[in-house]
Amino acid sequence: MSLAVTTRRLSKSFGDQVAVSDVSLEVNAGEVYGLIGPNGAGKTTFIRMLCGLFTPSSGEGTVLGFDIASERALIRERVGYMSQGFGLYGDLSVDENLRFYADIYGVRDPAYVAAVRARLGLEDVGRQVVADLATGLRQRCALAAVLVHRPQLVVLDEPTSGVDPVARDTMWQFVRDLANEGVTALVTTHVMPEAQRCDRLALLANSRLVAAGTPDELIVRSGLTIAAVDAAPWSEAFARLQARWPVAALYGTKVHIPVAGRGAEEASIRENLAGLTVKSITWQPPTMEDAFIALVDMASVPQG
Amino acid sequence: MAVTFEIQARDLVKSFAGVAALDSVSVAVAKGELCGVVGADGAGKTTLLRCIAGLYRPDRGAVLPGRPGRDRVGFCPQGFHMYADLTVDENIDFFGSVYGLDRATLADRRGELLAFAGLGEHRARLAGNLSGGMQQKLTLICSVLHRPPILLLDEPTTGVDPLSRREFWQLVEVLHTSGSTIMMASAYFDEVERCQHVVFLHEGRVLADGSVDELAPSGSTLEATFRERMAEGNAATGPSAVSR
Amino acid sequence: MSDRSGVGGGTAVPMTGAVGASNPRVGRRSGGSARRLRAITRKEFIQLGRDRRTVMLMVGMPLVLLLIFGYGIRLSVSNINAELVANNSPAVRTVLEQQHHFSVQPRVAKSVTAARNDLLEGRTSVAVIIGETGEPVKILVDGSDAFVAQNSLEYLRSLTATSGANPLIVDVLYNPTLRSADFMVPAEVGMIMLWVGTVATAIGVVREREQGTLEQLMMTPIRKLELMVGKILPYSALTVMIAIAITVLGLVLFHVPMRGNPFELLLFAIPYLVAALSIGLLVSTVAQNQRQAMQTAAFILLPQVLLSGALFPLSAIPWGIRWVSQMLPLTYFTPITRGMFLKGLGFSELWPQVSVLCAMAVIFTSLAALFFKTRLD
Repeated sequence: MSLAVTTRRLSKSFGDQVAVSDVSLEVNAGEVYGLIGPNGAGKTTFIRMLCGLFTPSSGEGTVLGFDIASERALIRERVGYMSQGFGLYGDLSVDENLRFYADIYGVRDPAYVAAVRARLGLEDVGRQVVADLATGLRQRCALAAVLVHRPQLVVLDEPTSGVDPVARDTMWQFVRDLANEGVTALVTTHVMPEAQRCDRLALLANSRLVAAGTPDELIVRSGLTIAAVDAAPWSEAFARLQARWPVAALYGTKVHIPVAGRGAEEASIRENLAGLTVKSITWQPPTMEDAFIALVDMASVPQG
Repeated sequence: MAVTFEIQARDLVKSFAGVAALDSVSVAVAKGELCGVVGADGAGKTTLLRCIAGLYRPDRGAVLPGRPGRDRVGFCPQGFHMYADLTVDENIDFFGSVYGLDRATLADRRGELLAFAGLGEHRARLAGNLSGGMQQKLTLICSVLHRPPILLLDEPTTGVDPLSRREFWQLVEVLHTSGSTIMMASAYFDEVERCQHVVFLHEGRVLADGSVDELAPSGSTLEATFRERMAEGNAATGPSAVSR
Repeated sequence: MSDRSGVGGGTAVPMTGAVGASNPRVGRRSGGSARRLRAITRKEFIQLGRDRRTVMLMVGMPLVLLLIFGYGIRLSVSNINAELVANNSPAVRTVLEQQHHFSVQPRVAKSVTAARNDLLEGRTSVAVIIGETGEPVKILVDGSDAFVAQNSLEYLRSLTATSGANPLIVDVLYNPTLRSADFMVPAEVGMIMLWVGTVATAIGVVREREQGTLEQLMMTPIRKLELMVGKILPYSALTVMIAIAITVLGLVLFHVPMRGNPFELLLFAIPYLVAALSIGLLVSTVAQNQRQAMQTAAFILLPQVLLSGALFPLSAIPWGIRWVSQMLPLTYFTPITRGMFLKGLGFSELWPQVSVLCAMAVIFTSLAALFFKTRLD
């Protein structure tokens, strides 16, 4: 099993502003690896170091076996970077965009470009100007443009931002297919249900690596359970519960409270809702988003 | 007990360049309700919200509150629509005065809303220099300066990180529990799950309309129901290319 | 919960080579350089082809200019209004008429004072004073339009050359040395006001649309008129300041005379300004972004400068195109500025131009208000 990416204590500072601090991780070949974290946590800077766009301040890393500090050109030839805003020329058609990128990368195989286009379901819209496409299609075109030069690693920066649920799904299928064929995918996303579709995740907060592992491992690490409280009248129940647990959130007519342990809490909840009709209290595992927030919170509490 | 509907669309039709963005859409949101409109890109969510806000004139059909009622509406559009070259304070001042708030009221509301949104310490920053999440919060508070009873949100948390999203939702919840009627467009099912009333919009038509329990009885998810309805809808009318 | 199922069916073209192997098809060989160059060039052509406004500006504009210069503007002037003073002289009349440049008044001016008045108010550009003996004694030329004056002096040489023993005195009024600064600076005031007023206003509105804040504004109680006026005011202040700056520079650096009342000039500038700014608002209604606003403004402004009489005299523009000139605000403001700077004219002489400008202000503002939308659709 080879490693697509390795980093050891990778750091980057701009002046005295620390963007990335001491990040060590490994990505397996053919993996869908998610990078998540709050804005400004250092994800983009980290990725740019891997792509050879920034020089690390300290630490080391390799991408596809090449050193990120000294062999950048070799890395850039093999990596496809799909940036937010999708990197496409809005006033060019799908075909024209693909042809442009193929030429820029020196790809001399029109049959292959046609195959990529077909694979991503873009044959019907080849002549359409990109700016006129729905976001989902535009995003597939961006992915096609990245794939024309047969990268071994693709970096997808928030690839489904603003895209509808169905198109998002299609996108992830493609990414999964790529992974199955051996292309490693590094994905940054703010959409937590999608983060759960990754093989493994790295959570960056405040320039540090807070947690890394499979989505399930991260959820367990957060140590949370969710109490789903169904009580009437719901608005009153919510007001009371939120006063006691500020993290309580309203879901439809139920109140969800993330708690650290269930035992004592159930009693407190019932006590808090005295006088109201409590229809049910069910316990469910936290969502990825709940886990994310809890892990980031835990990381910001000083140790000791 | 009669239910008052604060937001209504009846057989709403709106076309652009011959293409129907909304094809006979009917929706009703009761006073104090939080309604989520979920759908694909190009389904018509933004068009629906803009018709309700009076920014578009419908080709056919009736809409409430529409243009005459727009002083009761706060509209929080998708993306960043504040003045990037003005500070947080200046943006609030500007919109406050355009909404007709006098200095005293504006000063009060400004303090209250800045604290509410957690933007107090960023008052003097240029809006363009705020993070995505903070910009969304600024857009939100500027749209409720005049304390409108109705709030329209167009995909407000797209592209915003989970922490800021959670904070944004807490703001929306406060507005909701203090009595506002809210209609929100979203591309995320997990957000829409927080609403009391959910509407599926697809290619300008309403696919489903009900509470979360009705649309996703235990064992199923909203997303699964959405796909089912979409498949049914496509089977009836034939597949169409999802492009503008 | 990771999803490992692949999509079934479809031609499964492998997307990549094995990890670690170098991709033989990709590289920076020198042959690739020509390809990459071609790729960029091809892309630029395609984008240019789709950008109709830029093409219109780059191709259409020179064409329009060519037509204007070719048909519209004659570097030689014709129909210069001339009159004889004090006495009639068929000989002189014949000489002048034979030139085909002059349009000689049938009647003879009674006195030199009357002739000077005609020159002052722009009814004539040349006056030939005839002595008792029927010989031309003196020639007066209106120097405020240097172009016409220069040409007139040329054409009059046949008269002045043959005068022999009694040299013919030629008196060029208002701008004796025919300095171009005196000719240009007043015109520039009008041109700059037009440029700044139109472009700045157009961009100011369009920027709002680009930023997306226009949408937010439409949700507020603000009314169309308030928005329009609010947008215009800062740019009008800016334009006036620039106009004053040019005037001052003209007076100080170039010693252009200011024989009229500057406050009156400011007053007359107001309807002109309103018209220019309203044109800016109109431009903003057809532009989606700032770049388009600039292009449209440039497309409108350049012909205006050429056809308004600011650079080339109106009399040089044939009647076929003259109607275009009649519709431009600058055409009426230039005589006002030149008249006030050089001739010291006032309302009693300039009221026709001022009235037209007021009418234009009303018309253009109404048009702008009509097209200025407060809805998004």
